[in-house]
Amino acid sequence: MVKYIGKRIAIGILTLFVLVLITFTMTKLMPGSPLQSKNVTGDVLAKMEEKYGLDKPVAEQFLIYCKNLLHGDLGTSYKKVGTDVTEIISNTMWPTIRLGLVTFVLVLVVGIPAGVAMARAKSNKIKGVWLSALTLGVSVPNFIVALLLLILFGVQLKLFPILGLDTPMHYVLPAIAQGLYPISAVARLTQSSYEEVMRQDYITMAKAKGISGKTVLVRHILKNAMLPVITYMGPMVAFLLTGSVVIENLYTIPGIGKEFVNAISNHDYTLVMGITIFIGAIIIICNLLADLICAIVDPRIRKSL
Amino acid sequence: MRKVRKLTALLLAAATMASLSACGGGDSNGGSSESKSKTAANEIIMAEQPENGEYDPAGATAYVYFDYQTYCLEGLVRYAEDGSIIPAAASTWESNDDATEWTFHLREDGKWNDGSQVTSADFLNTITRALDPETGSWYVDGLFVIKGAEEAFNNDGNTEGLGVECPDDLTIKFTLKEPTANFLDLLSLPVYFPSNSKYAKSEDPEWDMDTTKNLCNGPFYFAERKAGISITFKKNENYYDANKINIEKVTYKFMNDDQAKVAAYETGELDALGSAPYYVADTYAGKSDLKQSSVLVTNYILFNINMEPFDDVKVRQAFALAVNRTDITTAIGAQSYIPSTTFVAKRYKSKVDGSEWGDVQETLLDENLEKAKELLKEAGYENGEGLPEITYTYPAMSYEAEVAQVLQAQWKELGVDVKLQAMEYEVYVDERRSGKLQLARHQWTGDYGDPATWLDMYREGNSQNDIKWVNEEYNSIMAESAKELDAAKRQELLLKAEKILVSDETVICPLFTTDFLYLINPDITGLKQYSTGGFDFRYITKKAAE
Repeated sequence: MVKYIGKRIAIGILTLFVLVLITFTMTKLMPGSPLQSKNVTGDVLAKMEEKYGLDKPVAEQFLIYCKNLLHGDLGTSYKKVGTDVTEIISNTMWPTIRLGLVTFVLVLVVGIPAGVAMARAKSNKIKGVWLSALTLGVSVPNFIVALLLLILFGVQLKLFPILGLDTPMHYVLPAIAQGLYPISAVARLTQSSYEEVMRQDYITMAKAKGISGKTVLVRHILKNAMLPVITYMGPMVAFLLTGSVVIENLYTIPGIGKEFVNAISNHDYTLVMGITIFIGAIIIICNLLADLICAIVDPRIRKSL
Repeated sequence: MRKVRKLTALLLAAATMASLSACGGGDSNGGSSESKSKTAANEIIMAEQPENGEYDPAGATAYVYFDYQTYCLEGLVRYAEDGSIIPAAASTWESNDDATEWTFHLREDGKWNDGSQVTSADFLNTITRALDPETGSWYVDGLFVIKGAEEAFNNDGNTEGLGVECPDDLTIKFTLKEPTANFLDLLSLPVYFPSNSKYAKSEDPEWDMDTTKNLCNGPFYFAERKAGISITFKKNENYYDANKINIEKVTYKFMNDDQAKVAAYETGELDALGSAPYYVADTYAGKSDLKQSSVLVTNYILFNINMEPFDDVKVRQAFALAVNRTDITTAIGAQSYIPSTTFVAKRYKSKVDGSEWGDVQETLLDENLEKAKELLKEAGYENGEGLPEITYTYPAMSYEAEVAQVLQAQWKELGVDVKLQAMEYEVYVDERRSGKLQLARHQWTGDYGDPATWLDMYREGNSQNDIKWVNEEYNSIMAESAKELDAAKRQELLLKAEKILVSDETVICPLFTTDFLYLINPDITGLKQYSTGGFDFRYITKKAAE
């Protein structure tokens, strides 16, 4: 197990390094200077490029970057002058993480029971309605849901505030908009996995042994049915924690997703790199955690390591 | 089951109706009804683009800085509503006859928000810090009119021999390199604003983000900054004119999305929205929320006089005369974009009589396709035959593609096939500045309220003269205007220079100027307009929310 974790962490670090190398190369290939602006010209521009080290050869710039990275220094933003990238990331990640966690809870609380209810439903008609609703949830893009909720419940009915994340009420609309897709996906996954487990011989065996329905449900069915859901949770949590650009823009949430897109369009190389590394690290960690939880839940996986 | 279907259908229908009425409706019950503010009577909340730059007059002064400067700082002089220059932090000033020495006397009751005296050293503090390349000032070249300033900047900020003196706490004297009649206008650039010499120091580069150190001498002070979320200014009781300020608190929320801004205005979470998206002109038509104000900007075409065929003035004039400006502004929104043939922003107010520059200047370019064809023929390219390949380059943003397409169609009528090329903004600026673009879109917003902010660009040696155009007559008229202290005589010279640039030599072809649309809560009264465009919220009063 320890060896497995060590191996996964080493692969994660290597992945991050490749990510840094590719992003660095790509940002350097982008034409135009990040400091190009109507107010900075001639000598002033040259002095500023010198200050940011942009006058040095690209290979040297990369080495300096990697060296600083090892010290936890992601550099200074080119466009938010004088602001450290780590500071920008730490300022913008919390709103995204807060909203991501609320959405995550919503997904668990709604998605899993919905999937179980669907699997246990006897009527095919009800199953059909459920399935249609879930298909709709998966297929409607979140920006349409976000806009529709904003207009209907924010602007028209004025039930919920739509600007920022100041109070718990502010979370309602963006969390629903962000959560609709994962809720539908988790419910669908839970349903199919639950139905699959229900068909297994050990469930019939457990029932035949006279074990109570509740114990069968929790210990035998849910535990096994949750495996694919947990695997899905890895990328899903990463997706929620890295923020949705559209939702953050629409509900004016000063999160990391919005910052990332702004940084790209501003040619803010250091910020783009910093956020890419941050998001990359989150994705790697989430996937690792999902694999570990699977290994803990399922002895077969644990033994195969 | 049927009930479920009905309910779903009803919900979907309601949602669709709601979104349709909000998107396009002018219905008074729809999304565009007059906004009711949710904020307190003595405060206003507005939207600003995402936070960028610093709150230091000597630093990276992006748009957010200018909100801060407007509310929290006061320069030596300022513009009155009619465009004239009036005392601010300085109560009086004088200059010598050739406008090379300017002395300002600060007001005795000028205070920082902690109650301490605003001194001449505070003004000098910004200047010396800006001249240090380490500070990264965006407007440092605005100081280069001062004797020794450019040398100081190129000598790592060593200000020995700098033409700024502070004989006492309340006097500051500038000695300039050459006569500069519009020096008072230059004082509206950030680098001429004060920064408290006790806290604003190069050794503490973060001072400006700390509201306890970032002291203010304007009507408001910098009360709170939530990084990336909002900034808040509160009334400065130590301001000498504090009794004229009625609101206690002004907040700017950083927002990016147009739909989000309009929606937040409609719910009353925002009291006002500047540079609102163009579609509010329809959704708010006839409502008192909708307001409009000019911007001192000119969009124009830049001909590269060093590249064929635009090295021939007749070809340049043919291209300029073939342009129909109304077609362009109609394509991109006639309410916000106004045809213009002047390089100086059309809505700029003349210092002589306050009338708009567009009315003071004659029509500099006709719209005459026949004459254009004639000129092209005279240049040896009848019906466009024999012309080299021509490419019009524009940045890939907002309405630029539409403008380019209309121009392409109009030049087609002249008999010329023009290729269009969109570039990312930074690349476009880079290429244009290095003189690589044959025919390019350009835009210039005035840095201060004087025609020289535009016309100086094409003087020999100016760093903004991308095409390195040199015209002896133009240069000498501009040099003469810089010495002329009589406003009327100076204006005549500037009008003449502009005529050479646009009509005679047609180095550029002005297209249009812009008006910004605003949504402002009707409960707000006492709005003023800046002479340089935009609304002044500092002296407003707001009715309490119901």
